[in-house]
Amino acid sequence: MKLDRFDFIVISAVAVLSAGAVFYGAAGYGTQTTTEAEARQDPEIAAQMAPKIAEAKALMNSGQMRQAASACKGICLADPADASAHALYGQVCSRLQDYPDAVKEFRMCLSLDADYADSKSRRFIGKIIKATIKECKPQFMLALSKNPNDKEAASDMENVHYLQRMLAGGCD
Amino acid sequence: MAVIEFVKRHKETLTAVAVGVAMGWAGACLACLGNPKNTGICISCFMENLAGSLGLHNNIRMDYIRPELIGFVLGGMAAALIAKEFKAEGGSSPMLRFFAGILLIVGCSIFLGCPIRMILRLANGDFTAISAVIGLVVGVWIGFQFLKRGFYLGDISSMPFLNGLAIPAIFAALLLGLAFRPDFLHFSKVGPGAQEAHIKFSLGSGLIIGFLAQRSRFCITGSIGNFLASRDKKVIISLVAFALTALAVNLYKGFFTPGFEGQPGSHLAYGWSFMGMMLVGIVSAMIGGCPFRQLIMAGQGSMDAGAAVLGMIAGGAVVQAWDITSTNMGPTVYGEVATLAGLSLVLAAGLFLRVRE
Repeated sequence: MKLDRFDFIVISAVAVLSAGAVFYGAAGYGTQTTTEAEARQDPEIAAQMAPKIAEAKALMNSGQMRQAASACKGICLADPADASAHALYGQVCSRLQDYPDAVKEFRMCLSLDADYADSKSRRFIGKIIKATIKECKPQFMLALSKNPNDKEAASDMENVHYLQRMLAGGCD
Repeated sequence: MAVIEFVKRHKETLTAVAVGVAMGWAGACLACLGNPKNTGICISCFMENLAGSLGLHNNIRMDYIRPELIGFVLGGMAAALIAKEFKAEGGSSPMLRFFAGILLIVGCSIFLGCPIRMILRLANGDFTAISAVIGLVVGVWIGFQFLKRGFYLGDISSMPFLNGLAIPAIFAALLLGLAFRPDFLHFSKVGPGAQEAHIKFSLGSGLIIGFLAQRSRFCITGSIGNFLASRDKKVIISLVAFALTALAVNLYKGFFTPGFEGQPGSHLAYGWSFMGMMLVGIVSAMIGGCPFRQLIMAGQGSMDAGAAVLGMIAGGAVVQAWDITSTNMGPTVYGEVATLAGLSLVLAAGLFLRVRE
């Protein structure tokens, strides 16, 4: 069988793409970002954390924001896969006007459990997140306009865009 | 009389415009009426929903039997029967077409949408879809290069009539499943699978679109390919009508939100969107139609398209169960590997399936 120029182009493309697949597979193996499916909570830890979350919520509702923030931080460190803890921590940070941490925690929460962005779910906190975005987005944009190389502001904006995409819905 | 004469003379063009308008109108309206935003019609998303409903993957947010899918197949079948074009035929590499169906969904899931949703996303002002449009055009062009150089999947032969009824019968059974919702079928309570327009509107628009699409041979990738080959503007008239109608509805309803950020069901990995849609373009050109066209052809009795449809259902299960599908954060590692491996496989298959003189 005689190969023509087209065959050689295709063979080269196949070789490059196959090598790319192997490279991406090897480089990315084990580095999958945490998703809802993977970050299954340990039920035992979750049971231990439940009263602590209730306690932190009570602190937030009684206006003791600093104590609530400290409690939430502890819970998130002990159980990073607990979306409810991140949701609560995000709300506390938002009330403390610590917006960079608020959007970071909300992002973590939604990436662990998309139900928090779903208006049909009882966990829905979309309105709180939207209110936070309304407050913080102009601040992040201002910081970026003053210094386009501000990596922290860029990261904060990235979190805001992620939250906006999640709240916008869509099929994925 | 002059009107009748005009309609008779431009019957094909008018049918092409009608299917484009129906699709644009239904695509935009279905999203307003309950389907996920920017996802009034999306074959790949709907296939993932269907696979979930059949219990083929474990994402409880993506389980639903979309009536639109049923409408497309049964509407296509009705049109083919009325026009006496229903033919049970097949035998042109059905297994390869099955795997092609899987790869179609893999490519779509990387971009987050099929070619139809790509246009709907653009019509909603989602400019992140631009890279996918370019990818699809490039993919179709590559696919046509293979066809020009002798790519051939084998002869199509007639089959006993009952074969042609298999896929429509499956979708008719799914309609019963949707109506009676037996325990073995799954339906989401939250997430995109729980976002649904009213069944009457979904099914009705599916039937109308399926009927018109069968008559006009509507196919996104086919239109692009024929335009690239012939530069005949007539062949993309339905695509233009589709995009403009969806845009008009979105502008009227106030759903047009132009920009790159905060778009529903999107991500900012433009390179991977390009690659994913390029895969879809190549595969579609090779098997003779985009995912939507495969459904219509399966409805008119093509067993080969039926194999591709079954492959698409399997693909819907695979991309969800193996975390191949992208998220709002972008493609997963598995998705990236699957895209590159898929492109590599398709090109290699193209090489082996060339008929040389």
